[in-house]
Amino acid sequence: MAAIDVIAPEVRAPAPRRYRPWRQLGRAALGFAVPVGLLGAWQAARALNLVAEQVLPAPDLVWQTLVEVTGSGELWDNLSISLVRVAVGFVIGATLGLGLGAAMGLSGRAERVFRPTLILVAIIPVVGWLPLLMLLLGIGEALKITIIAKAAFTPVVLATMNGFRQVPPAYIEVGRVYRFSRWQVLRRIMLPASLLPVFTGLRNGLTTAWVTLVVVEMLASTEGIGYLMVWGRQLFQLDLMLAMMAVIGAIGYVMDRILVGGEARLQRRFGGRAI
Amino acid sequence: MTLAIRDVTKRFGPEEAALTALDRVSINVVPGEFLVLVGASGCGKSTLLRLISGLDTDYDGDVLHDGARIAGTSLSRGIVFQDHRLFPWATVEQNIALALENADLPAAEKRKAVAEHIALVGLAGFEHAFPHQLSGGMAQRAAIARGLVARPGLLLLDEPFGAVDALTRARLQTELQRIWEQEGITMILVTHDVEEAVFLADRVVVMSPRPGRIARIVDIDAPRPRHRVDQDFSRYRAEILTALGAPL
Amino acid sequence: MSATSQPRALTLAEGLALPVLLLALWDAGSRFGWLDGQVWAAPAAVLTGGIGQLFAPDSWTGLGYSLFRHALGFLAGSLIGIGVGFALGASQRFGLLFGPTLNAAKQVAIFTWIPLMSIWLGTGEVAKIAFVALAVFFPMMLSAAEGVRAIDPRYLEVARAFRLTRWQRLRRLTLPGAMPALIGGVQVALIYAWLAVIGADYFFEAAPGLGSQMLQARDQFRMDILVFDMLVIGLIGLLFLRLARGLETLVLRWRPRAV
Repeated sequence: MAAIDVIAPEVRAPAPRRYRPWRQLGRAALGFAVPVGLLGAWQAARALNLVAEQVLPAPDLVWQTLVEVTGSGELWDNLSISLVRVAVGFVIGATLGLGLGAAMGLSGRAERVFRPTLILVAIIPVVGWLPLLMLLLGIGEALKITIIAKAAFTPVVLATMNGFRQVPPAYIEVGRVYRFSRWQVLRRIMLPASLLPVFTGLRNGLTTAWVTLVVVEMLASTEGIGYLMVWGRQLFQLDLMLAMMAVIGAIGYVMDRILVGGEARLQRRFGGRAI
Repeated sequence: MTLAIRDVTKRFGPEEAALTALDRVSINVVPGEFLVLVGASGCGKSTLLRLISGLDTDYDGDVLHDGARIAGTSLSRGIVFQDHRLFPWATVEQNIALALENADLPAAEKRKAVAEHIALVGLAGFEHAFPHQLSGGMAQRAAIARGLVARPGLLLLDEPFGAVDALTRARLQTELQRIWEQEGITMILVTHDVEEAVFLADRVVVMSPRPGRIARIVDIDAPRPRHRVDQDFSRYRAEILTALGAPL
Repeated sequence: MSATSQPRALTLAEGLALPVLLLALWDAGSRFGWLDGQVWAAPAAVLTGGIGQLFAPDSWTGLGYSLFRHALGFLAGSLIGIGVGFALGASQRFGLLFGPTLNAAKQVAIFTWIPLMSIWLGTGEVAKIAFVALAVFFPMMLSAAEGVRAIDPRYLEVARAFRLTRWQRLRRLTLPGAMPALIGGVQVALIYAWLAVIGADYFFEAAPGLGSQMLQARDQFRMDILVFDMLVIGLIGLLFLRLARGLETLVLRWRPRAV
């Protein structure tokens, strides 16, 4: 769009920016206005008994329950089970994904052999796999690990495969000019160049794995943090349910933040295509 | 229509380090004339144009359009930008029709006006083209049609031909002059191209920068159509260049 | 990096090798009892059962219900999502006020909302459709906000020069200008909605739907129905992707071809 170039205004305001810390603080505070407001409305609704207690427990009750459940060890017992499941499933799925993705990215033959099967597996979402796997594997640990592994596998394999494929041939040519061995090409060109997309794939894989864990625990489990949440719902202990919702949300949020930060770091170091 | 610019002063930036873009500029625009503002970067010509259009309303002094102080944009003051600013997702026809969106006319009249103006700028046949399919010159012509279709009393053009190549520029200048003669509306054009000024203008307002002031107003008495190779043309050119302080 | 110079027959063979091998293993496993016969159906049985599903009116009813929930939820979620997204992108104050909260809510996995929703909205159709709408809301909100921010402010000046009213601006500038980003959001939202539709069947009350069908098939040890339904789900997912791409071509005709 050549006609829309940036056209400098004839006269530029040359003013140096005045440092306004209060303004920045004010802006951040605005962001808290809504959650604080909602919390206040929630407390008021409870205090005025606008809705039944079973439908909406008081926020301080939820907090109390959270504290209780942490103190009694019940939270950690269940949470640790969930985290182990995610970890194991993710490691399995990601490893398979990395391996297959790398193979498919590097070898045309591997890609041609595995592609149709991969498409079939990938196109059916994890939610769709659940009943079949429940039928074939029952509702024990095998089911959970398998489905979490599948959930992590798909984004990782796709991102890894594409990550290797998108390495500009121009870089590989440079390797040829300097007579790199295959191993050197892999180590010095392919891996660094694909690091960022692969990391993004891993990040997506972990997020999907966490979500899948919650779903499968809600549906087919007798322990775990997802189970705790559903249990609270079933017994109409909404305080427990809400507390668990908060924990699940918080963990997902923290996981994502850490990974996004990692991705940003990688982006600074490895990102961008200079060619 | 009358346009009076009286003691207009415009400053940018904070109090301590303000830049004076315009310093007590006054012009009385003659109805129906072709007025050209010429000057180097920073002389305030585009700023003045934006004040006249109403896109900027923060200034000291008065800009009076038909006696009323300009307080905002208006359909009676059309504007053509340097980057044509046609909406990329709309066809030529739709872009021009945009100017009539708020006009108090029946739909049939609007369609007629759009078609007439497309023909006026020589874009017949390109009604359904998208901007990315047009050349720079064609896009600018569409922008001119958009500026004219609402039949404003005044058309403002901010370096309209700055982004096109020299050959297209010469053609578009001739076109614009033809349109001006045909439509008879007042035009105020901003440019840094002296030849363009002499070719098109009845009067050339030469501005000097920092602060923006009027250096001279040169009357161009030559009959139209003008030829760039004429002696008269060269004389005027020299006069303006001198007023600008440029080497000849 | 892949050789395109080999005969097509070879490429075909390579592609079929793995599926054929897996099928053979499955068949053998079924024949020789390596696989639990109660649970694992033979491949042939799956095929015939699956074809049988094609002619079963029940399965079409279930599909219809699922698609219906998808459409309604998608529409509702999109409308609200685009509205909020536009507000976020256009108004700095709105963005500062609601942005952080909405971003935090976005992080919570969508299925986590189900127990809460089942309390507040019950477990009927309304809850299912609301769940789908929620799944659609977040991607559409994000893309709408991004779309609005991507609009060149110089076009806003054009709108001022021609004195366009708020609605005119929305219709002629904001909506078409944000469309490229919106289409991206639509692509994501269509898939998310489909996932939510299937998942909703698992958690809310039983009613016709693909997810319910699958749970029922599982209870009845009908692997053939399961496989058939899974393929349908996958196929429809593919169709949505195609649909989104087609929409993109249609709506974004005005874009210059990317070099």
